[in-house]
Amino acid sequence: MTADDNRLVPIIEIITSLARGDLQPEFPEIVDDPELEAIVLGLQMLAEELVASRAELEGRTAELESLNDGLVRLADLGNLLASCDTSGEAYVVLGRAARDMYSQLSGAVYLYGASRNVVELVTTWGDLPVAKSFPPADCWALRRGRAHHVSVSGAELACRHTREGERSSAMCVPMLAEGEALGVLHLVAAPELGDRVFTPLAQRLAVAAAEACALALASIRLREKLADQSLRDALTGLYNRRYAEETLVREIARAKRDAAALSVLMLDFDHFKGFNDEFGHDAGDMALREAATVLVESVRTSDVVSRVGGEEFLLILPGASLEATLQKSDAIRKKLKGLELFHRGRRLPPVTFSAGVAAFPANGEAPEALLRAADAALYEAKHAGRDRTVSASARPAGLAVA
Amino acid sequence: MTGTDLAAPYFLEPLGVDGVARIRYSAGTVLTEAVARRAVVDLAILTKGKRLPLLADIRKVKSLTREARKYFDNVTDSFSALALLAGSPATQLMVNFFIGMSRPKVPTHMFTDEEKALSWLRHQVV
Repeated sequence: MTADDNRLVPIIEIITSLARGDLQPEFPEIVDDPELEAIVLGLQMLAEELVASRAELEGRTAELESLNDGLVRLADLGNLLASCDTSGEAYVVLGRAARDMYSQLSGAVYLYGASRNVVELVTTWGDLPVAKSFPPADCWALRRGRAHHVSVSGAELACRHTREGERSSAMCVPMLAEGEALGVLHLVAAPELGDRVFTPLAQRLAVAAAEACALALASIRLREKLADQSLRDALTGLYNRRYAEETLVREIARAKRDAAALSVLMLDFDHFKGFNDEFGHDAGDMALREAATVLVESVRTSDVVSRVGGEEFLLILPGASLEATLQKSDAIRKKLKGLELFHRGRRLPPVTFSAGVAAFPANGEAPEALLRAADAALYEAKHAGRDRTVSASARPAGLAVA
Repeated sequence: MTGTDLAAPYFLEPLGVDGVARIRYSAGTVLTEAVARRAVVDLAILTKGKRLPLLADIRKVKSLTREARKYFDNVTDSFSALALLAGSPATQLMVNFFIGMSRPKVPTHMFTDEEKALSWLRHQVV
């Protein structure tokens, strides 16, 4: 090896280290050899650039992997939400999925209440002290209809629903479906994470997640509304015959299993045709709506009130004995009779109802048998002069309960 | 850091009638980001914020850190033109590396002859 060859030894060592992937080898200080000094300096600067590029590349790779993971979870969430039958189910799925997707963050999902004056907490995770509800005006994302990010520096306006003096990176994303905000996804990073979490890609993913959830929730709500409409009577808002019959099957099965009482009460508007003829159909419809309100207000929320015919109502009272139902029937009839009805400025005469009551299992073990018994008792009440309640158990003796 | 401050990593020459700002880095200076920031602030004070051509004499600089290079990337347009005066192969390499990596937004050239550098800069005076 010549002296010139020896001069190149440090260069060869540096290049060998770089080739092995060691981008931070020892760079010797060269003196009295300007050309060699320049080469070592050049290699050192190139190595520094490679280190920086590698770090940037690793950062981007990690971010892309995280994004990919997020997209897979988002697709799973979409599938799960599409399988939900009710909003309640969707909220549970949404809560779990959001917790899973943003496990390193704290967060909450708020949805608009029926009045749209307030958004209400649906789910929360992490150690975020959150408001149970707040007015939409307290959230910049809901006010502007677009995602709102607040960095640690706090240069941006913080939403009023967030913790006072909070110095964390946070994000609110409106849950938009077909231009309407259904609620807001609120995410907060722990202070030690700084602004690293909400990269531009992560922000876009959060927007996509919020939109996917909003669309799924809107679809479920529409389905629920349509289903509810198919079970409701349009005039009175009460359940219809189909729902009442399905409920009766279910409740009888439950009563059988629990050896519990169950009664049905059938009520019919007396002389409804005459009422309609004399005061008009509008007045008849109004009277039916008023009667429906009285019925709903007179029973427990666990009872089912339905309109099963033009002027006929069926009440299913789980857990109620025959005696209790007879008393309830008379109390209801009394209230109905006391209704003050006005139509087009004219006071209408009091209305009366006839009622038939039947109890499970004494008057029938099958739904059809029980309904037939109540219907027969109602017929008896009509036959006996109307404005009364007849018990199916008393029918053979023709006993009417006035 | 104007005039002759021997402990300083650089000194600025008073503005001449030619309208060229001049900064000369001291012998053995390791040009770090902190040094770079201070120099740019001092230059802004010297030029009263005006965008003037700059002669940066780095002939005696020992090394230039990556952070300083990155910082200079963002401030080159504080000047209307940049003449970088290099001497040794090492300083020439620093300049070429900087120009190659940073792609400055204003006319930037490396010179090894100060007169040629000043002549070029005088043509860049706005």
